[in-house]
Amino acid sequence: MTTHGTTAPAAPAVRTEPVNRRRLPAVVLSWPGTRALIAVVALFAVSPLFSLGTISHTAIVSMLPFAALTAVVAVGQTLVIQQGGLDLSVAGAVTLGAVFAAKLGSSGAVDPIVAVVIAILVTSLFGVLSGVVVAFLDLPPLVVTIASNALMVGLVQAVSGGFSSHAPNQLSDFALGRWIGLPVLAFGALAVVLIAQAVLKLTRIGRRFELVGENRRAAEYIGVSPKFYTISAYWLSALLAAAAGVMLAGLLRIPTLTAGDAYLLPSIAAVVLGGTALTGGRGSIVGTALGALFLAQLSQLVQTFTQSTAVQNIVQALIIGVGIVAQLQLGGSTARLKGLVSRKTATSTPSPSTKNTSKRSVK
Amino acid sequence: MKSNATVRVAVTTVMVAAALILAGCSSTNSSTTGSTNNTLHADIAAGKVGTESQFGSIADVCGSKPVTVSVVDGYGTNSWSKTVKAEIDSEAAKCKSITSVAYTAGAGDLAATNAAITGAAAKGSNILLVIPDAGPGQAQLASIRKATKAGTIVVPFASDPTGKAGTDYLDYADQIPSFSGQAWAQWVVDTLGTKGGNVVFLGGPAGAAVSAQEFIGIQKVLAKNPQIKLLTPQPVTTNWDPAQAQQAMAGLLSQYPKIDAVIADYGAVASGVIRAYQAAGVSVPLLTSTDDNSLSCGFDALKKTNPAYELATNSSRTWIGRVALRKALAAFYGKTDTEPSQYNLGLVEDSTGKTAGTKVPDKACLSDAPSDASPSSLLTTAEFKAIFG
Repeated sequence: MTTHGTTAPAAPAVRTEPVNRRRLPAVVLSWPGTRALIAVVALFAVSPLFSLGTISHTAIVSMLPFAALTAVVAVGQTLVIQQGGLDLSVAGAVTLGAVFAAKLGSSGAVDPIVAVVIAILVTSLFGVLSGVVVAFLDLPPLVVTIASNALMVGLVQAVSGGFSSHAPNQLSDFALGRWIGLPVLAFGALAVVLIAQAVLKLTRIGRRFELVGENRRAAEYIGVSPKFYTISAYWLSALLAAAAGVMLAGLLRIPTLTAGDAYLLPSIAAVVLGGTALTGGRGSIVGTALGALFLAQLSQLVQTFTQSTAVQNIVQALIIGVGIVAQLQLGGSTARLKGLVSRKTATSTPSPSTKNTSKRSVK
Repeated sequence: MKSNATVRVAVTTVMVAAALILAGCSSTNSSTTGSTNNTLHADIAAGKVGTESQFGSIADVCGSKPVTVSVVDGYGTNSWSKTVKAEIDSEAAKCKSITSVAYTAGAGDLAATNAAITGAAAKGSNILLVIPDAGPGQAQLASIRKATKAGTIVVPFASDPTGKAGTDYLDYADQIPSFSGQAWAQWVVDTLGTKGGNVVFLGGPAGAAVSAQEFIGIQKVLAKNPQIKLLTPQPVTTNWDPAQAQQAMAGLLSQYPKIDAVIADYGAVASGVIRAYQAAGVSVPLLTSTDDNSLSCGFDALKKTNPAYELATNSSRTWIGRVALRKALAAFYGKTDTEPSQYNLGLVEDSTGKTAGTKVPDKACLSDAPSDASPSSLLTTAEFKAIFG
């Protein structure tokens, strides 16, 4: 599931002395994705206590498309964060993707499918721009992505003329579609997550990508050029955000000119909740997707016990805050987890980070 | 010596202070009265209540002296705002003395909206029409006052600026929101009948004055009809954004298994509500809102698959900017304008056909105009096509 899945198998490690002395449950628990999964399961378990309706079919079907969109944007964000960056331009990219798809698709000038492809590819160029500036000029990603966000917001205004237009019917019907009773958008997001996770963990390029994020110098020593990976992270982030924007245009039918703003902070929160460190390096795409699911369900749940926006925001912020602190504090430290579970001051090992204990393979 | 010096310093200080106060006074006076003496009072029937049948004509209030107009919209990013702007442009085109109509959208940003208001006055606009809905009305009142003091004729419209006409600005043109709330709620009561049912109300941004006042009207009617239960203790926040409305409605659908009627105070929000129902695979119930071409023209098709669906709307008052402009022009040229500035908006469209004087959606639909158009707008189909393409 996560990085450890591809490292030395956990079970033999318990029996044979040297590499990894941790027990299997502890190892599994130390995967960031596991902790995110526990949070999601716990949230769904307590949901009926507040309102039975929150786990009804209607509720789940209403919530999933928004979780799916957050997940797709957050997968891109994970890739950038793995490279030690932060993409603040996803808001603009989502909106630009949505507005482009709606405006071009409904204009009748091009086929809606062509409009969708153009929307995604043109928007992704801004990601390439961010990546090139970050990689070659070595400027802080925060500043660079704020700038490219501003460029995209400007283009949104120019393309839309200041007002939203209707998404083409094909796109809007597709976004509402169901497959085995669940929204197709959820399956779309699932596909993105699985492909990204597989590429990252099972392919050479994926392993190199993680290596570059974790230790640029080591990557350079073995002849891997970090610039290519940095640029591709920003490109993919913009591409995925634009794809989410296209889906959003279909889901909303009338995408507003600030529609993407609602995805910036959740995309970062989902990454952190999913267990990817903001400092870069290894990440868990599945964890990120679970983080997105957690956020969508949380927002739905909070809405059911209060209509007050102020209280909703405060409660939501507190729970996300606790989740992030828990994830960061426990992040990869089996000793701390064990300590929490067994209350033993077990090891004298100074709670090493998994970075030191795990073996990484770069094929 | 020392005491002399102290006295000298004291006298100088007093003189400087007096000079400053005098300068301040004189500058305040000159700017209050400004080039025109009519920023606060004119023969314009400020605050008069009435209906759309009492509209005035711009020909009666237009003069010969060149006049510049600025429009600031606290939101300005949706179709309603686009129509309002087009209506003001269309009205302004009928008075040749209007040399320019500058438009700024605050996009929901309070600071940007306030900056636009003071900026318009600083630029020397003769007339400033403001929709103070980037936040609570009073958050924009200070800059409205400042603009008035600077000699600009300010007419807030379409959202309550708080403050007082004649003290803080010339006049405030709008619907009476509580009346709209009552009209919607009464239709729900009549249509659901004695069996009653559950109702939800979706408003605009959190704390929006219009939504709050509409909500009071709704509560007033429902208090007399206990068979109808209002599920939402306050307006549900949508920011008048169909996307957010869709998400909010999705939340309501999961929270309440039985919703028999939805009241939304903006037609595009109602579209988002329908979208949420479709996404959840639940049948659309009674829906009442402000008029919107996509609601009217799409009614018959939606009704086929959603048997319980009925629609009633009142005017989305996109023409209110025209009233604001006429009031301001009358003040600028010292003319008389007797039309109302506060409007009671009853239903204009009712799919059940039970409300007298209303059209059924199929008849209200402007088939040649785009889906974003407001059927109650005063724009022509050609004008609609020009703005929505």
